[in-house]
Amino acid sequence: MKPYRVLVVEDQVMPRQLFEMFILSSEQFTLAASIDSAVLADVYCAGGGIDLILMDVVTKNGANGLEAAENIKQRWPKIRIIIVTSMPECSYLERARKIGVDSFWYKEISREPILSLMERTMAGESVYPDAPPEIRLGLAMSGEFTQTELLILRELTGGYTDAEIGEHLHLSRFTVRDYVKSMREKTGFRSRTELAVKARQSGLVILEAKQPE
Amino acid sequence: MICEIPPAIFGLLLTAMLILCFAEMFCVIAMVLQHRGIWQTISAGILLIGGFTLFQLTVNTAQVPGALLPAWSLKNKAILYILFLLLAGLTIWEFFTVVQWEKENWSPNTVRESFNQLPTGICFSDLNGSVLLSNHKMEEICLAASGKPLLDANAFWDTVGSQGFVTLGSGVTWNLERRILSTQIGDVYQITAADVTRKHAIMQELKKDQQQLQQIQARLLQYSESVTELTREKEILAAKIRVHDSLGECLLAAKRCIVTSAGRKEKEEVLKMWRQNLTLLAVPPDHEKSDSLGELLSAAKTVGVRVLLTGPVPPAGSIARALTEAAIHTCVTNTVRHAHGSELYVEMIKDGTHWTCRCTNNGCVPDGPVREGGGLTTLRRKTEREGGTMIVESSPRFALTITVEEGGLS
Repeated sequence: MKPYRVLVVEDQVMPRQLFEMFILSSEQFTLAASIDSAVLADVYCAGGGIDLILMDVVTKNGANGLEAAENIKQRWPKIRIIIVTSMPECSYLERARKIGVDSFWYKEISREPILSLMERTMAGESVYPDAPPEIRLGLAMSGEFTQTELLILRELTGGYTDAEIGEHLHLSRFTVRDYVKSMREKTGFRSRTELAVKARQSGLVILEAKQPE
Repeated sequence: MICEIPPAIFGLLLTAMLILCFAEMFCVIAMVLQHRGIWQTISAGILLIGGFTLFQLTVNTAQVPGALLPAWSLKNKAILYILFLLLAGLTIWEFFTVVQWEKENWSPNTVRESFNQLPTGICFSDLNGSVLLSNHKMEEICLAASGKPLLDANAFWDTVGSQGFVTLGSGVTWNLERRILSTQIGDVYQITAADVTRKHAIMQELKKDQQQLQQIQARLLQYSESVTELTREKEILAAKIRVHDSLGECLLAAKRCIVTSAGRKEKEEVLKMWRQNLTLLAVPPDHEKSDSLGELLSAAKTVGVRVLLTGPVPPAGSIARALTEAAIHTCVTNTVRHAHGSELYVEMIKDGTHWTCRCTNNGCVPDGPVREGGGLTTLRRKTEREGGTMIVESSPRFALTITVEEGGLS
């Protein structure tokens, strides 16, 4: 059987070399190309012959792997994509599912070897972790936060005021204030700034730069 | 019969008549100022004349030296005093009506008085600045803020009022506003000054808080960037740990080979392991920024498209450069996907402050008009957002031209 051609999109040299090594050591896969920016992934797909992409989320110069994956899935739905990330950001999983990404792999914690995941994905399986990695934020675990709380927490890391967050999320400033208070109580943090800094530090929420329309 | 009145009583009588005359005079003046009805004012005037006449008659009909008239009989004097009493009653009644009217009605005086008692400053002037009406508070503010009395309202506004707020030496902050009012005498300026000391202090505090918040926001964003960097570092560290573990395995395997005199195949396996690990250890350091155009051309070459670029290239980091790269990117994918070409011709022209990028290829000519979608739509949106133009031609062959003004950094 002809080996599947894999495109690796990873901006860090060492992890990229590791992926390359895994692929080269396998008889089922062959390395089509290895690039460091998600922006150029579609050029390689246009050239044809790509069967699978291992796509990092945060790549060179801030290029977003999920956006690139969405673009590729729209134009070349047959190309299989595995998102590989070390960011525990809770929205990535859901976003990847929505885009139609085939599988999702956490670099740090996924027990299954990447090659096995690649094989299952090429066999037609969609392999996703049940949930993002559970991480601790103060006295609370990440699973204890509601969806709305996570949305507000993400905005909070941008340093926005309650009124601004309310405007972004279509909530009243008082509702936002109550949610922030509730999260502070859960985590035991003394201030909203501490909450924002620790949330960002943990990688639970990552506020992406807003792209002008 | 001539009646003689003791001089002391006569003196008191004359004093009372004089007071009556003054009270009448006050009533007449008050009525004029109060703009009372004409008949009311005339009747008060008649009472005044009556009072004065009684006074004259009393003086001149008394048996005193210099009297102009012969002394009156007791009967006549009794009539005179009865008239005096009547007049006194009417005068007292009139005095009270004047006072009552003042309490219950507006007069120019009450307006002026209340105007001066306002806690806010107010001034009306014509359009040339001549003050028509102003209160004590406004005069006080003008004197304290400009050191001059309020004579020219326009000069006061230009030097003090136009700033909106003025804080006086006493620590009180006034908010000054000016507007034009259309009145019966034409357009007039109304300048008002309101005490906003507390509000101003709160606003200053709020401003300070907002500045602090902005600083925190900037620091948080900066922190977000460094956290991303930290996460990358963690990834590298994790990879290094794997290599370290793998090196441990290599050492163990090598030791076993030496100790057990392993066969050729096993030795080759160990050698392969060493090669892989050493390759990883020989990895060059990451370069954060590199030539994105060069990478794009290299990617194009990998997928079989040679990009032939002529003319000057916009400086790296500029909007023109970003749009040029986006145009080449789109055209490379379109050359491969739709035109099935192998060469992309990119012509760059710099005309004054404008950059033009024209891309054509050696692939198939489009069957009909090119339908914009995906990459072309995104490119058009990006170009037009920066104030540039984008033209897509379908014949005689596909051509994409974008023109953008030399602008700031992307």
